[in-house]
Amino acid sequence: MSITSFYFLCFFAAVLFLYYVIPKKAQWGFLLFVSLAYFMTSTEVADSGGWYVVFYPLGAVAAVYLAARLIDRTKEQKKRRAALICAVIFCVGLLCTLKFFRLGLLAPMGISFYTLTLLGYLFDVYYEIGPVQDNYGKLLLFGCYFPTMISGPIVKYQDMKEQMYGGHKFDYRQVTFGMQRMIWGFFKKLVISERMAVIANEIFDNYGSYAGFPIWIGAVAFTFQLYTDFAGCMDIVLGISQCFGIVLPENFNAPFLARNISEYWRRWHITLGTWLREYLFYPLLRTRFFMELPKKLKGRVGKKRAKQITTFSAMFILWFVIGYWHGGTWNFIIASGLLHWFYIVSGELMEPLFVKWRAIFRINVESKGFILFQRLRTFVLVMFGLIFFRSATVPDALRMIGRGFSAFNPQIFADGTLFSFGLDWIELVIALVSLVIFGWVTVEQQKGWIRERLEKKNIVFRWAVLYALLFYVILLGQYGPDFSASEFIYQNFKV
Amino acid sequence: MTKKQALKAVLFVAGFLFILRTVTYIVRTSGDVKDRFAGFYAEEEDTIDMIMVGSSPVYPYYSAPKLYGEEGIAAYPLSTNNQRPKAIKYLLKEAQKTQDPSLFVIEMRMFTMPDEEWEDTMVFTRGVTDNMKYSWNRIEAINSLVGDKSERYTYYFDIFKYHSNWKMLVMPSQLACWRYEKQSPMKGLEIKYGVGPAEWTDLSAETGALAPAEEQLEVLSDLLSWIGDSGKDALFLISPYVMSKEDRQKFNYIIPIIEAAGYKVLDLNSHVEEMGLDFATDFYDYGSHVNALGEAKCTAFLGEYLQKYYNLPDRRGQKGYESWDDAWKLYQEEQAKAEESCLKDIEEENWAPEVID
Amino acid sequence: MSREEVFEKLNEVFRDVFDDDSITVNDTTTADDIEDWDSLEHINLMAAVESEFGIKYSMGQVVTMKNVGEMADIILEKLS
Repeated sequence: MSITSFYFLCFFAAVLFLYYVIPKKAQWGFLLFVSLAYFMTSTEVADSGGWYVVFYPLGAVAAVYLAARLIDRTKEQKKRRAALICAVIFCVGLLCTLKFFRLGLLAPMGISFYTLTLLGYLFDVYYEIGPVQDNYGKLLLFGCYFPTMISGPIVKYQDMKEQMYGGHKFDYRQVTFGMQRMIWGFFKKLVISERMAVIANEIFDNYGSYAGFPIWIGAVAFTFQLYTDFAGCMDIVLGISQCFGIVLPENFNAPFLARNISEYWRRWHITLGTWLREYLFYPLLRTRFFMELPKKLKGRVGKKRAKQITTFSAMFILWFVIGYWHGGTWNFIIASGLLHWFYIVSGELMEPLFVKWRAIFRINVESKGFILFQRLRTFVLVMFGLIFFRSATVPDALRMIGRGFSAFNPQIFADGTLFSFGLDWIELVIALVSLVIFGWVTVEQQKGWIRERLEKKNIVFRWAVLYALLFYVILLGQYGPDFSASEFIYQNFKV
Repeated sequence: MTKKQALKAVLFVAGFLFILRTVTYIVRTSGDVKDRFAGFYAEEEDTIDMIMVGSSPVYPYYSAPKLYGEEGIAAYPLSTNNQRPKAIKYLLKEAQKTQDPSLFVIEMRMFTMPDEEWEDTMVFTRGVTDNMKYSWNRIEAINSLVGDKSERYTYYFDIFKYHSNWKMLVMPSQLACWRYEKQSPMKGLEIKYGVGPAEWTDLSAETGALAPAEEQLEVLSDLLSWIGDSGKDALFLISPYVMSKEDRQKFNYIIPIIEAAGYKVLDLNSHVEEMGLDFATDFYDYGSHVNALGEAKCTAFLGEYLQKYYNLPDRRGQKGYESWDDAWKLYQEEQAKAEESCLKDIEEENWAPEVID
Repeated sequence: MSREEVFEKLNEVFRDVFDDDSITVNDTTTADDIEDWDSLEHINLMAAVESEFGIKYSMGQVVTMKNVGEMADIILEKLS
């Protein structure tokens, strides 16, 4: 069931009503039941008849559950390690086999996300920084909580424990805030993302017929499409969860306000970055190989370089994994992985040069102009990467980029070409206006949630804003029998 | 949840539904069907004595203003393109909510075609359901007409289909439809220009009978019993057109069924000469539907027939029928223009573009 | 080793890792107080501290350490 479909909304309304009607003690069990039921309506199960697919998450949870219990109960380091490794191999093995090895097998919904969530729990138990869950059902809820099964966020057990299993009393404010957040997500997804998709699809699928600026327009459109699609999904999902009284972690924090690529990854898909840093990057750097490496290289290249090379090497592995996780093929490995490694490494290496240049041109790093430059630069760098993300193959992406540079044709902005990508001028205006609204709200929220500021206003103003937003989405959203439904992109790539 | 919060929630949802309904009414696709139906709902209560239902052989054929002006009959067409016979019952029910007609006039052309063809083409179903006001009757109509249950919600909430017509929100003519009530200046009539000559074949000698599609016979039987229960009278109409032999045989099959139920069938095809209907000049689309010239003749004949066999009140001069007087006046002007244009086309042999089905 | 001595050594380590001789740390110093102390440098810092004091932090401690005060506490604990 698509999260933006009418039936899903009916489903959600029913679930929400029942949730607050049943006794609080039964709420977590009810959510578990609902989560499994929702899982059974996913396309893999409902459309492809693959009901057996539900055994994959059940199995992964079982593996992690048993390993965690064993690790918790024993002091023998050998046994603990063995249990950890077995469970990790099992879960990662399932993930790779079903998703990345392209064997044409049916993969369960959310496998890329719940695998990390469950392994995070296991690692925390292993490192003794997190508690064990002795109830398989409760752990199952943690792993299969339906709002997170579509595209995450990747959650930490300690943060979820109290919320998931404790009962929740109906909180009018939380429920209304949650619903408002959902509407905002629908706005991003149905009004902006779907329109950007029209342009992006036209240009990416036919890049051979375009050259120069249209190529870049397509890339920009896709960047916005992906961002509003994924962030919109997060809004809906976090909003739903908030209605249940369960606060999920944020996955986005105005990523295009980032001034450099490192900061970007602290603002985009935040929970993934956190997970990889804590469970992959740090452990990697603390392995003997990486601890020894700087010492070995110190003699030959000096202390600073030795540290850099060590870090960059570990980062290479990290970024390779990030890229691979996104889709298992080279275009993803590059787009969301190695390309960003390259950006960060070059950024680091060129920093002394940048400092010199900034001195020569007397650039004030805190000036509005410079900050804007940095943000635009971040956007462009990310956009390049996304060309690889969206293209069918790496050669396609390279050819497309080549075509982008093959012509200089600013006249297309004035001669009506803009209206030949699939959106007429009215639709383009709607898209741009919506982007502006979206941008403004996103920036404003840096100062504090708009919902909280809205609740302080009088009821007439508040309702006017809410009705306006609702009908903006209802009238201008792209949905219904005349539009083809498109699933969340991130879900398709990494379910 | 406190009482105040519950009240706020209920009010918010109520407000939302009200705005949703109003917006839906405004953005429903504009056109002659919307005008016809909104015009119907705008009519004053209990002023209409005859309701006409059926598909396209209704609104260009029979002029309600003319029936009023010449015979004093207050009739209103609730016809839509390719109106599936299954929908007739619901439309008649709908009409009875605000009107108390004594006669239902049912055009029969659609009975000769199987229903399943039309179920897939949503536009014909929506022609009916998306022109009705929101009501329980509408929901029942949708349930009956839309077999695929999973699609029904886009009918219940037709905003799903029409929301991209949002530009209509700034058109005064559509804003006027916010309650789905807007006077139709000529009481739902659509005067057709153009001449597409056809040849009439007299099939009156054809007495063979062929059963139409099974589901249509069921619908007919259901309709006849419903009309029986309603206590109203009904007249079944077959408008003149270039009929195929199969169609003739199908009508031959149905007519006795209707007459056995106690209702008259007026087959205008057997009165072509009497009406003075000339297939070479009176059709705009080469034999399927009449133009202004044909409409005058058909309406006149129907009017006389109704006078002869039915006791419909003469509403001319009565209070509350001022809009009908205006419609009659407007009709006469528009009809004259149309007839002149048709005659000119005939003289210049300026034939209408072919209508591709 | 006393707490003051630990902090003296920590100052040296910090100055060395971050290449800044002006750094002085105390119980409440956190990553927010030192400009280059991001997640990347955190690991290098931990490694340097471990190396300097001849101790090893657990993965859990590396991740959950909130300020330099906690860092010192664990050092003292491990040395005793």
